[in-house]
Amino acid sequence: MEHIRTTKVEQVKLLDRFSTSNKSLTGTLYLTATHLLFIDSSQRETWILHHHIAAVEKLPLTTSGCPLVIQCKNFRVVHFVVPRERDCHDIYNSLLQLSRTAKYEELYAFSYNPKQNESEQVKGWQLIDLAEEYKRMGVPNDNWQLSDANRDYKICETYPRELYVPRTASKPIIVGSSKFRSKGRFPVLSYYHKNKELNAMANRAAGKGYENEDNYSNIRFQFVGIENIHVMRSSLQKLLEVSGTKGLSVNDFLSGLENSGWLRHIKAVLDAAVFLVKAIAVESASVLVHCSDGWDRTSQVCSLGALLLDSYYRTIKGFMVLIEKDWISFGHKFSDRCGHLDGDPKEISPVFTQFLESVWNLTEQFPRAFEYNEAFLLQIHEHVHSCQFGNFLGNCQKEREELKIKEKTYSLWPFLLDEQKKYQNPLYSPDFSPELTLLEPSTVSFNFKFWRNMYHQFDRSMHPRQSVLNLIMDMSEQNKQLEEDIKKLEAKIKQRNGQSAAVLVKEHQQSVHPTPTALKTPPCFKKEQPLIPVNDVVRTIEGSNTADNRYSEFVEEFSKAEPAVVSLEYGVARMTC
Amino acid sequence: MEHIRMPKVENVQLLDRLSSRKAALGTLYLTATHVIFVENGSETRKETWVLHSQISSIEKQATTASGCPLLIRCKNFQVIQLVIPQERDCHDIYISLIRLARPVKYEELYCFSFNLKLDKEEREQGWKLVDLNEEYNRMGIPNNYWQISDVNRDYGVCDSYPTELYVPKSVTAHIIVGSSKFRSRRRFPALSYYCKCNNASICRSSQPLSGFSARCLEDEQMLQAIRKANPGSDFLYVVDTRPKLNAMANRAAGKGYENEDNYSNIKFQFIGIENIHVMRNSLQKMLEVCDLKSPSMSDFLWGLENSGWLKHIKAIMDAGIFIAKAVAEEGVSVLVHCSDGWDRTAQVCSVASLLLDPYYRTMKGFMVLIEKDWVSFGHKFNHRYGNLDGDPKEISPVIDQFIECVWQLMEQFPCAFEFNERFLIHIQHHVYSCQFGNFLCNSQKERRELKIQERTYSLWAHMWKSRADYLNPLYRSDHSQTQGTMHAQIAPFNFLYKFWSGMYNHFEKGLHPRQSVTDYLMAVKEETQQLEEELEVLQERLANLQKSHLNGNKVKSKQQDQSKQLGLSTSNNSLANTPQEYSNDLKSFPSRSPSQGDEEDSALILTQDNLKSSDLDLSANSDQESGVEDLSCRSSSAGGCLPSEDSGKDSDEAVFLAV
Repeated sequence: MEHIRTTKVEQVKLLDRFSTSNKSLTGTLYLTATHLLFIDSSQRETWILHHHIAAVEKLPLTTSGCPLVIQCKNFRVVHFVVPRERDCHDIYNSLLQLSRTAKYEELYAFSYNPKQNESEQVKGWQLIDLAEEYKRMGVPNDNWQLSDANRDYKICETYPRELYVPRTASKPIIVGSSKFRSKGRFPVLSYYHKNKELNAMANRAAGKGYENEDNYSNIRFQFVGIENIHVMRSSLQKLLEVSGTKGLSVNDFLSGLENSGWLRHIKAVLDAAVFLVKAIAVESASVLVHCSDGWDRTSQVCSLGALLLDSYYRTIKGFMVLIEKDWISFGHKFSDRCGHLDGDPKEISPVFTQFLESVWNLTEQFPRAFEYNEAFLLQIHEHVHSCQFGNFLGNCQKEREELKIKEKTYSLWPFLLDEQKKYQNPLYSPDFSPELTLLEPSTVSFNFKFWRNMYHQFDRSMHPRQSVLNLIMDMSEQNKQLEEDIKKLEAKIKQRNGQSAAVLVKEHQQSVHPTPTALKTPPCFKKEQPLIPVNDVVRTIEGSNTADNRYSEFVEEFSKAEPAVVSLEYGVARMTC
Repeated sequence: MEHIRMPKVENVQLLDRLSSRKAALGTLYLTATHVIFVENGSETRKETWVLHSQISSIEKQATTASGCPLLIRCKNFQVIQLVIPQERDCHDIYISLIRLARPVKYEELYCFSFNLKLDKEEREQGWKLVDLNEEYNRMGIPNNYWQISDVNRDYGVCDSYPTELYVPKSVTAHIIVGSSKFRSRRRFPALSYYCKCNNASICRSSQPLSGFSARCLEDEQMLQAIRKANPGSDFLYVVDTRPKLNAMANRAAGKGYENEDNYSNIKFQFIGIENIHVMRNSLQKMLEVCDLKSPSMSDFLWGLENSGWLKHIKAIMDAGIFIAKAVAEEGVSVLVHCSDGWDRTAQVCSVASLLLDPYYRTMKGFMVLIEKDWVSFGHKFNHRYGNLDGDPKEISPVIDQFIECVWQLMEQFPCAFEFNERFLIHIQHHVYSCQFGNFLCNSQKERRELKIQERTYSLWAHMWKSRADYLNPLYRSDHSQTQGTMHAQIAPFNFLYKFWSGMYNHFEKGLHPRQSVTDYLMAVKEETQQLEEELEVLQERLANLQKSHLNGNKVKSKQQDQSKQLGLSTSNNSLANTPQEYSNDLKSFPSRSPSQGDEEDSALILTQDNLKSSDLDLSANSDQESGVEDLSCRSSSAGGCLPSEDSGKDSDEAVFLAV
C-alpha cells in the first residue's frame, strides 16, 4: 500500500480508443492494492488488475487534462484523461510501482481468497493428475517406465520429479545424456500414441547444437524453423501497433499485418506440429523434438502435436491436462515469459499466446472438434497473466514447490470447470472426432486469420453485431428442454393410461426423437454438399476431392519407420556446432 | 457440334492443384455444352463437369514426359489442370474449347438448349416469381409523390432502361425527355428505392452532359421534383460514385457532374469507386495470389494488399453506407450516378437498399433486388461477364463485388440474412453459366427481342424450389438488427473485410468448415421442429386422456393444471428468441475483482443448476428465461468491462450512433 500516493481522482475521462467522435465517459478513478478501478457516472465499473498492466504512458498535457494510456497484457488499452497534471503524475508513479512486483509473495495469488476451505483447495489442486494422464496414454508399459532419477531435481532442476523414459535407458544413460544436453534437459516422453498398429511417441529434450546423423543410428534430422523468443516479442509488438492504429485503411492493415510477421510465425508453429503428427501417425516413427532449452518452441510443438493426435486434449478437461503436462510440468518459464515479476524484459515473449492462437486457428478450421470455445482460450490467456491463481507462477516445478504454491494459492482449473457452461462449444460433436482421431489441418496461408477477439476483446465497438454462439447455445438448449418435456409427457400418459400401456409403448417407440439423418451421421466436412450448383442432371461435380485420409500419401513417400529428430530453430544450431 | 474436333480422349490425368496427391486418371469428354472428366475405375463414377460458358481461359503448357498439360480457368474460380497423353489430342481439345468457350450468338448459349422438362405454364409461372410492379407496390408506390411513367414504353427515350419507370408525380414527359437528353445514354433519373416511413428515396441516373458550363432546365427541374417528392427534407444529395479526378476528366468530353450552383438545394458528393478496368485488374491480381501453390503468409498478405481488392470492396460498401445513412437517419433523398449508371450505380444502390430494408435480406427479396437494380436497369451482363465473345476490356467483376459486399455483411450480421453463403455462390455461378435466361443480354429490350421468357427458364424459380438448401439456420427475422436498417460498421476497422475463401477457393475442399456448420445447424433446427410437433401430439393425447378420465370420475383437477403449464413450456421455449441474447456477446473475461461478489457467481451457478435439474418443476421454465438474463447482466456488471460495453439491449445501437 505504500506505493499508493493518491487513492481517488474525480472527473477523470475514459476515451474509446477507436471511436471517431471524441466522446468520452467521465467518472472517478480509484487505486486499490490490487486493482485500478474506474466508475463512470452511470456506475459502470472497469477493473484493471495491476498485474495485467504491461505499460503506462503519460502523454503531453492537453487543454482537457493529462492523458494516461495503460496497456495491458490481455491487450486491453485504456486511455484516461486526468484533469490535473499532479494527480496524473501520482497515479502514473503509483502504477509504475504497483505493476512491477519484486517478489512472488506479493503477487495477487497469495492474497486472493475465493473463500474455499483447505480441503477444497487441496482437492482443486488434485483435479489434474499427470500420473493418471500417462496411465491414460498407456504408460508405463513394456517399453516405457517411470524414472525417479530426477526425484530431487538433481539431474535437471527445470524438469518435474516424475519423468517417463524408455525401459532400456538406465540411470547412467540418463545422467550421461543429461550432461550432453542444455540445462540438463535430457530426452523424456511427452506423448505416447497408442493406436491400432501404431506405436510412436513424441519426445522432448533440449539442445545446444543439433544431432549429427552420422553419430546417431537411425535418426533422421529435420529443421523446422520457428523463430526465437526475441523475434516473437517484436513481432507481437508490431502487430499491436497495427491493430491499435485508428483509421487505418484496408491496405495499411494488410501490409502492417504482413510486416509484423505474426501470422507467419503462427503458421510456422502449426506447420511444425503437422510435421510431428505426420511422422507419428503416418510413418509410425517416434520423434524427438527440441529447440534450444526445450521449454518454448518445444512446448508449443509437442502440445499442438498432441492436440492434433488425441481428441482427449480437445475436451475441456483434456486441454487443462495438456497445459499442465507440456507447459507447466516441463518447466515453461511462465513467470519470465509473462513478466510476472519485475525482471529482464528480454525474457518476455508471447510463447504461450502463440500456442493459444494456434489452437484458436484449429477451432476455426474444425468448428466441431473441440469441446471448448474461444472464451475458454481467452480466459486461460487472461489468467496466465493475472497471477490470481498459482498454476502459472514460477518458472518450474521446483520453484513452485519452494513457494508452496499448492498451500498458499488456488488452482485455476476447478474454477474454470465450475463455469464450464460458458466455455462449451455448442457445435462440439464427440462423434466427429472419436478417440485418437487425427486432425489434419490445412496450413495454407489463406486459413490464417487475425484473431480479433484476442486483440480487440475489450474494444466492444469492434465486435460483430450479432453473436452466433449464444444463438446456437439457445438452439441446443431449446432442444434439450423439448426432449425433457416429451419425456415428462410420455411418463404422464403412461401413468394415466395404465391399462393400455402396451399400445402406448409401441407408439412411443415409433415417435421417439426422429433425429434427422444429418445429426445421426457425424456431419463431418468430408460429406460436404458441393458448393457449386449441381447441374440439371443428378451428378456430383467433382473439383479436387481430397482423399479422405490425406496422410496416406505420405506413407508412400516415406516407408521406413525410424525415429526422427526435429529441431525447431533456424540455423542457430548450426552456428553452435 | 461442328466445333468439337475431339469428342473423347482417354487416359487423361486430372491434377490436384493444391495438394501433392496423385492425379486421377480418366476419360475426357467434350459435349456441346460441357467438358466432362470421368475418373477411371471408381465405383461411384466420379465426374467433373465444366460448362463451356464458365471457361474464362485455356492454356496449353509445355509438354512434359507424362503428356501435354492443359490448364482451364473458370469464371467461378475453379481451376482445372489436365494432362493429355498425346500432344495432338491436347491441341484438338484446346482448339475446340477455345471456340466453344466463346460463343458468338446468343442462340449458342446453354439456356437455349437446357431443358428443365417443365411445361409451358410452369415455365411462365417461374418467370412470374419476381414481379417488379409488386415490388414497387410493396415500397408503397405509386402514391402521392411518385407515379409510374410510360414514357419509355417502346424504349423510345432510353433503350437500356426498362419500359416501366417510376418518377416524381410532378414530372411531365417533357421534363423526362429533356432531362434524358442531358444525360449519358439518356439514362435520366428514375426511382430505385423508396422509404415509405419518411418519404426519402434513392434515385439513379447516368452522369449529366454538363461539360464545363452546359445547363439543362429540364434536368434541373427533374432534380427539384425529386427533392420535393420528399417534403420533409429541404435538400437532395447527389452522389457521384466515381473518383473526383475521373469525373473531372469526363467534363472535357462534354460529360461530368452537377454544378451545385445550377441546381437548387443539392449537396454534391464524390465517393471514389474505381472503374471497371481497375476492378478487373484487381481481381486478376488477387486470383494470382489464390493460384500460388503454397504461398507463404507474406506472399498471401502482401498479394492480397497489393491486389487492392478488399480496398475496392470497402469503397463500395462505404458508398452504400453513406446513402443508407442519408435516407434512414437524415431523411434526405439521394440521386446516385457514376458514368453510365449501370455498374457502380447498381452496386451502390443495391448495397444501400440491402442495408435499409430487411426484405432484401430474405431469399425472395434478394432475388427482387437483383432483378430491380441489376437486371431491369440494364446492367450489361453480357459484356461484363463475357457471355458472348466480345471486347475483353468490357469484362469486369461488377456483380461479383456486390455479392462479396453481401457476404462481408453476412459475416458481420450472421443472423440478419435468410439465405446462406451457398446461395450467393450459386447466384455468382449462374451469372456466368448462361443456363438460365435471367442474366442474358445487356438490357431488357434485348431480352424481349430474344424472347427470353418464352425460350429459357428463370433461375429464381429454380432456386426457389431448392430453397431449403439456401436457408441460414441462424436467421432471426425478429431480431432488432434484422428488422430495421443495418448499421454496418462505419469506423475504419478494416480487418473486418476478409478474404472470401468460400468464393475464391471454394474448390479446394477441406478449407471450408462454415458450410458444414450451416448444414449441421439446419439439422438441429429440423430436430427442434420435429420435437415440437411430437410434443404437440403428446399434449393432445394427454388432453384427450384427461377428458375421458374426467368424464369417468370428475376429480384430479391438480394434474390438469400441470398439463396447462406444460403446454406453456413449449411456447416459452420458442420465445427464447429475444434480442437480448446478443448483448451477451463475447464479453470481456475479467479476472476476479474484489467487487465481483462471489455470491453473484454462486447465484449464477445455482441458476444453471436449476436449468439442468431434470426434476423440472414445470414452473421452472420461467426461471430459465431469467437465468439467461442473469448471465448477460452479470457479465457486464462484474467489472472488467469498459463502460461502453453496456449490457442493455440497445447497446449495439448506442455504440453505433457514437461512431
